[in-house]
Formats: sequence, C-alpha cells, structure tokens
Amino acid sequence: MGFLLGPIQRKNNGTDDWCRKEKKMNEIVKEAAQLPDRQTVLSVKHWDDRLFSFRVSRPASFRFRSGEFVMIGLPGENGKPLLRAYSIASPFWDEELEFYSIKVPDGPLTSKLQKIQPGDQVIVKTKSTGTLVIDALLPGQRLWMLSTGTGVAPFASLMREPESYEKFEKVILTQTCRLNSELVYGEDLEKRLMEDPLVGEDAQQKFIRYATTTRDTSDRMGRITDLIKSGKLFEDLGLPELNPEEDRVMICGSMGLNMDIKEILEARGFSEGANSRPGEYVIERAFVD
Amino acid sequence: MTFIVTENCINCKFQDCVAVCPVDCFYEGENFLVIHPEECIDCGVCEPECPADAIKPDTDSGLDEWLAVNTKYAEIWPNISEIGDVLADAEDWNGKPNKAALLITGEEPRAPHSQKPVYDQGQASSDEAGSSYEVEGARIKGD
Repeated sequence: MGFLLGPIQRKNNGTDDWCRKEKKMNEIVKEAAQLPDRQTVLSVKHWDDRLFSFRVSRPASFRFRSGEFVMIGLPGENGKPLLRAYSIASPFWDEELEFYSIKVPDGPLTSKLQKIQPGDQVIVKTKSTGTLVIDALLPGQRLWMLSTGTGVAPFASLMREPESYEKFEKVILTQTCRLNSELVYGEDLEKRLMEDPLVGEDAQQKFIRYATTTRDTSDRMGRITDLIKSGKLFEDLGLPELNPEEDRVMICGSMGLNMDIKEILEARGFSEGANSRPGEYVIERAFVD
Repeated sequence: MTFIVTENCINCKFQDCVAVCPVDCFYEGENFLVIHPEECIDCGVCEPECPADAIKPDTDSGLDEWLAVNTKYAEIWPNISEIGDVLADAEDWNGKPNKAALLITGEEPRAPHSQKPVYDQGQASSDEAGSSYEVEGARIKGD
C-alpha cells in the first residue's frame, strides 16, 4: 500500500442542506463577479446643491436598451456593496454611461456618491432592466415622456435614441420641478440634443420640451397632472388631448405622480404595457436614495 | 415594502419576472417562485411582466400568508437569475382557483414515487459570468 488516493470525493449527503449549500456557492460566485463591475468616473457636474450628473466608462460587453436602469454604487463599509437603481441617462450607442442623481445629505449612498471625482471607481452592475423602453409600447403617433425631478434621467437616454424618432412623429418631454435650478439639467439636455450628430436633425423637427415649476416663478407653472386635466398642456403645444389611439406615454416620477397619471390615463382608456405585453403607457418610479 | 409572489404562480412559474429583476432576488421551488423581501428593491419591473398576474406589492390587503411563504422559502430555495424551462402545462394552470394546496415546498414527507426536485446547478452557478446577455436573451425569448 504505497499510494495515497487523491482527495476523496464527498458524497452528496442528500439532506436539506443541499439547497443552502448551493445558495452559498452562488453568493461566492456573485462576490467574485463583482470585481469586473468597477468602472472609472470620467466627469462630474454639479447642477446645484441638490443635483449632480456624472459619466463613467462603459463595460466593454455591456448592452442595454435606451430607457433602462442598472444597479450602481460604491463599496460599503462592511465590504458589501451599497447599490441603488439608477436610470442610464445616455443612449445605448454612447461610449460612456451617464447618470443623474439627487444628493441626499444623510443618504447612505448619495452622501458619498456626490463626492466622487474623475478617476474614482464606481460599481456598475450590468443586468439592465426596466419598463421605460420603446419595446413595451404599441406603435403610435406621439411619444409623451412625463417626468418630475430626477425622473428625467431615462428620458435623457430615450430623447437621443434614433428609434424614438423613427417610430413617432412627435416626442414630447415634460419635466416638473419645484425650483428653476432643478430644470437646468433638462435645459442642457435639450441643447445637447439639438447639436447631436446622430439625432439632432430629427429632434429639431420632432422634439418638444415642456418644463414647469411648482414653487419658483417661471414661464410655465403648475403640476403636470393639473395641466393635463385642464387641457392647458395641449393648448400650449397645439396638440390633441391624450388619447389611446394616437398617444403613447412613459411616466417616471414620484410615487404620487405615477399614481395620479395612471388614474388619468386609465380613465381615458389607456392600458399599461410591459416588455412581454406592449401597451399604451408604461410607468417607472424615479428612484431616490 | 416588497413585492411578493402569490398563489397564481403555482404550477405556472413562467419566470418572466426572473429575466427582468435587477437584483436577482427570485428563489425557485419546484412549482413556484418566491421573492426575497429583504433583497427586493421595490422597483416594480417584475409586476407587469408576470403573465399570471401573480406578483403583488405586499401593501395589498390579505397577502400576509403569501408574504410569510416568500420570506421563508427565499431562505431555503436556490436563487434563480435566468429563465429556465417553463412547465409544459403552465398555461393550463393560469387562473385556476385554489392552487395554494398544490404548493410544493420541498418539505413534504416523501411519497415512494416522488423525486427530489432537480435544479440545474450549472445554470445557476454560471449566471453571473453571462449576466450582460441576460436581458438580450430574455428579449429574444419574449419576442
């Protein structure tokens, strides 16, 4: 007997532990896979004391549909990554990824994220998802993108998506904020869109931005729900009232806005769409920390 | 708040939810899926994707029992992050009443002819490496 056998293969003990073990294994695999999720911050822009946007490098094999969101974040103190859902604010064809964020002073993530500098690393998970995609809508004439606050982010992607202009005759973005300073990012988006080499020309013909404030004085004031109900929105734009035959609507705002618009649309005969079952409108909440 | 999987998933288990979940918080039983309430980020994307309309916010009334089922089995069943095979008769079970009694938890006393549920371990453990293709793959399947 001069030989030692190799490691003895452990027999499956066949107990209930089996599932738990596999779960643990998955967690280990997950942790290992987190390393390639680090991306480099390329630029950061602070819009006011509450809002900032930043651009990061894009993972080489990462594909997504304009309008989707991903989990992004920073390593946490306990070694576990601190992740939140963020809409990608750049279109699918962009070489970089852009994100638009609020700064919450006590927010576990945004209190740290607002301090990032070019060259820093952030975690970007690559399982993109979401309902604010053109695939979840039936064909129509006008695409309405209704947002409040940072809910404008997925539309920053969709307004630079060529398909938006191929499939719709008009693309209308509304953004409602309390303050004028909170609308500056949207203003800048519109400026960049008109100069965009890929979709600028289409956008000049088809894109309309309609921004309102609810607290600061501005040219256009009021909640978008009130402006829809009163018909003022349509008067101002010279467009017909929302109807399920011609209009497709994407909503991204606070829970309150989402529910209010949903009610308005369902009363007018719109049905909610999903990736697996396109409809006349889709909803996503604007994520906050 | 969390979203949870409720009765009508039983014997349907279409898994459209799994493909769209950004945090992979679904766990798989033999004929049912559950959501891990502590991992769910309440994004709501899975809710309209379910062909059986089985995913609900736990703030809906009368769902305490299903919240308990989700909470318990999310700790026991294996994680699922990609669509696997759909049960052959899934469509027939969609909307059938009184399915709760048919839930297979894996804790039942084993009948002589019954088999332990077989999970595809290869698929479960390779999901992260291929994660960038998941949504694209799901789209093709969903078309």
